[in-house]
Amino acid sequence: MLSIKLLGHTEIRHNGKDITSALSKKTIALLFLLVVNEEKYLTKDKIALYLWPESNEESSKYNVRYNLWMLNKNIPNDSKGNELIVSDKNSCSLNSNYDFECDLLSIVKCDCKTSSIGELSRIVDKAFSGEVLEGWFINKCYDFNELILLHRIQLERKQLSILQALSKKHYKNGHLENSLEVLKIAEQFDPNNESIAECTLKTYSALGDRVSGINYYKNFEAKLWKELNIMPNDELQDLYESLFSTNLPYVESEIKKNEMKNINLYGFGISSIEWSLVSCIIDSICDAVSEVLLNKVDFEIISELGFINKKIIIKYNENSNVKVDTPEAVPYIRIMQAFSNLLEIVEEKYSVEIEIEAFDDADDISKEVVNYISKVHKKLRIIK
Amino acid sequence: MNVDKIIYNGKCQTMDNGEVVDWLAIKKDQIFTVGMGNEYEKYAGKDTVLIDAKGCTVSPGFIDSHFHMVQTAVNSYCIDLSNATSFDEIGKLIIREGKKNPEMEMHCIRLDVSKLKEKRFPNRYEIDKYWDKSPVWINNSVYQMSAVNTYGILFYKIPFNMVGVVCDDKQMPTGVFKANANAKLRSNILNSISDFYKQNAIESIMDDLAAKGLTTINAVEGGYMYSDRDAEFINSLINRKDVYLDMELFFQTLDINRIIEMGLKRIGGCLYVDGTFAMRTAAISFEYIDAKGEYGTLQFTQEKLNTFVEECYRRDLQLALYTIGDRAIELAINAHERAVELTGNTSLRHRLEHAELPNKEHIAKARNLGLIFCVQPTYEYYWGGKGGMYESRIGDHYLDTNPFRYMIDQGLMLCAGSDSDVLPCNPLLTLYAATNRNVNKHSITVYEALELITSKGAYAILKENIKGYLKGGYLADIVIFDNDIFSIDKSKLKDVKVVSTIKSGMIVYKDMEYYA
Repeated sequence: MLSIKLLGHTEIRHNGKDITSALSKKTIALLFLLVVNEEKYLTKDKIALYLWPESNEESSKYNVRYNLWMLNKNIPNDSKGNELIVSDKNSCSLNSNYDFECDLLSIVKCDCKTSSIGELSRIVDKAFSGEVLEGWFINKCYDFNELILLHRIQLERKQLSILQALSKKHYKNGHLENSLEVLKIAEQFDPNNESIAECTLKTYSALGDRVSGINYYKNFEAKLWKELNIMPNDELQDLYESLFSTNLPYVESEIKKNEMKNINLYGFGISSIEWSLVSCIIDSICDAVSEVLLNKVDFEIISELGFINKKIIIKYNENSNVKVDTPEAVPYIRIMQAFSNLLEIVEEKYSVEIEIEAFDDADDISKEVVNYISKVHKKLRIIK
Repeated sequence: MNVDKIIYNGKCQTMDNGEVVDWLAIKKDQIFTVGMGNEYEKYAGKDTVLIDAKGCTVSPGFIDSHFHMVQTAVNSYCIDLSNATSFDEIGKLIIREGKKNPEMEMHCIRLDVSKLKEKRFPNRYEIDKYWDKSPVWINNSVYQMSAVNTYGILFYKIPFNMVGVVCDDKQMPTGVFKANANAKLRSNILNSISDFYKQNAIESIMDDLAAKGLTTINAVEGGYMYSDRDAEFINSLINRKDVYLDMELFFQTLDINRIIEMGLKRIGGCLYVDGTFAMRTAAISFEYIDAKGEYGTLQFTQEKLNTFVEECYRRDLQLALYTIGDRAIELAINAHERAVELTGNTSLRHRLEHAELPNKEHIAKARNLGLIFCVQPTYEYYWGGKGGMYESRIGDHYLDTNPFRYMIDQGLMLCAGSDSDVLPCNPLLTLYAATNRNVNKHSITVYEALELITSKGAYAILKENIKGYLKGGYLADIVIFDNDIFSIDKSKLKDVKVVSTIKSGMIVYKDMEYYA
């Protein structure tokens, strides 16, 4: 798989191998052009204008050809035999069937309204890592530099709207602490944004946490005054004042309070390895839930699941007096039951969403187990 | 007893009720004694350095009461655009500097848009035409607006979402930044400057400051438009032996606890209660004549300022508030009045910085409250009088700005500063500007003007018992002039030169040509 990292430090990896240094800056710039124009054909003349505006026609055409060749040379066909670049005499395009991922595109393509909490969270976790082509400026490539600038502006807006959408979804679902976490990230992106501060104060109010709300406001006020020499707007000041009132305004009014936190689990299918999808979901549970919760799980369940997933035993043993060994054999039915029991325990504490990538490619046993789980666990949300 | 140095044949203004003496003797870092005639001879040993003042004025070392130290130092590495009259001239200056080191980012300061034939800031495409090989950042004279080239817009962390990013028809940033966006860009850039760079910059201007007769500055640092790291850096420099100058830190923050933790006795400096006349943000009680409906902006509510000022009184901190227009001055005085009423404390010598447009009532109240106005006489030199910036903004009210004569006659305590690097640091120009006012009724005497940058400057930092006077037991901070500033025509004051500066008994500047 090709991984194109265009945010922060630029990095191109093919099947895990870093090939960035094999590509020149202009070759990466060409890849950037193809990526941001995905699903469109770019004429080679246009590419030449972006990247070699001051060269004559002949040498700029040669440069385009050479750099396309460099891309093809360093980035071979994917496992399904797709070429990265579809090209004809006058134009070229990124092959949308090619197996690749790009941090910038994952943000650009994200639909804040329809995306689930899990999808938005993953984008925030994986893709929010700096500016578009950070530190880049190509001398004399005026249009290309403009394009970087344009994408930086668009990215900044999109990142903010993703964060705001995510915090709103958490808020509406009653996952107030998750909402606060997201607002904290949003504040790092735009430290003086009063609407983020407003949401934060509302959330503290909804949590009934006056002290944190007051402290938050004081810090925000000081920061705003220091950096911009302004006081918070009237709405924010009113919200702050409301924290001192007997009844906090947002506790019951806007949201249905829900003590349960949200967790997003993840799994992907590999057809050739038995239990691989279920094991992947167990991995994800180990990462997402607290050690305390894991240690409440019966050791037999841990042991049975340990047959297909070593991680759960290691994590359990780290904090438990009872040490569990990996069993030599466990009937499949017991593994399925143990998996269901584990999910049940997790669901008592969390609102669970499982997103499965490439479900169709998953091994047959896992597919059947997941189908069973989705019928038995009604509250569970599984996205395939 | 022998002394280390003797300055003789001088007109030594002791600043002690106008007393003038002929000589003064220095031992170690202090003035040992002063006197008349040839009595100094008895203090002269074989190792005593004798300095002939040649009948000229000798005064205490100058105290600049409002000086942005880090900014002044860092700006000494910047390109000065104050004389540019067109984009082409800006371009020439940038190209000339850029050729010396093509990969270095270039910071330009003091662009006066009103002097440009284009009458506006250049945008990034225009700056690119002159220089696109490295980032260029151009600031106006009061740092409230700036522009970067395309390299700069990609190089610096730019807050595109903020108010003040000027965009073209296609909603692309033009590279010009105002208001919040400019402040954020500015703090991002200033925060990225290393202490090592600042240290070098400060060392590089020390000789120049010594040549101007400066022995103490009130370093106003940190806060809005500056970097808090500057204040911390200056705090670390204070008392270091390799920096000859005495620095009194005024940290521009609202964070009182931080001030206490740093062991500071004062807070503020440019703690903005309002803005500037140049940007029409100074808070005034009448309309700006060149901007209908504009009255400037107050940065505090009365309630908010009251709380903060009261806290400073209760924590025994000397407070310096930035006030320019009459509405801002009123707000500050109200807060002080309230705090004095609540605490009864009038001994902390709180200050109002700039205080350019006070009315008679403000002056009377400030005097009664024991407030000090830290004024900038050179504002009048650069911006005052008929046809000046003041008149273009506030019309005939320019006749009432900086009424030094009236303030002093009413018994209000004043000190003076250059506001470097907003305007150049030049204490002799301060003397000239205070005594040669365009509006003559506001002029003060040479002696009064000298007090503002010596004895009263010391009073304003509670150091009048150790500096600001030429008296036995005081710090030997001394300036020798090349003329008698009290006998020459006052219009010649700006041509007078400092020929020697002594700081704590050490000669830190000597005009070798003069003494040759």
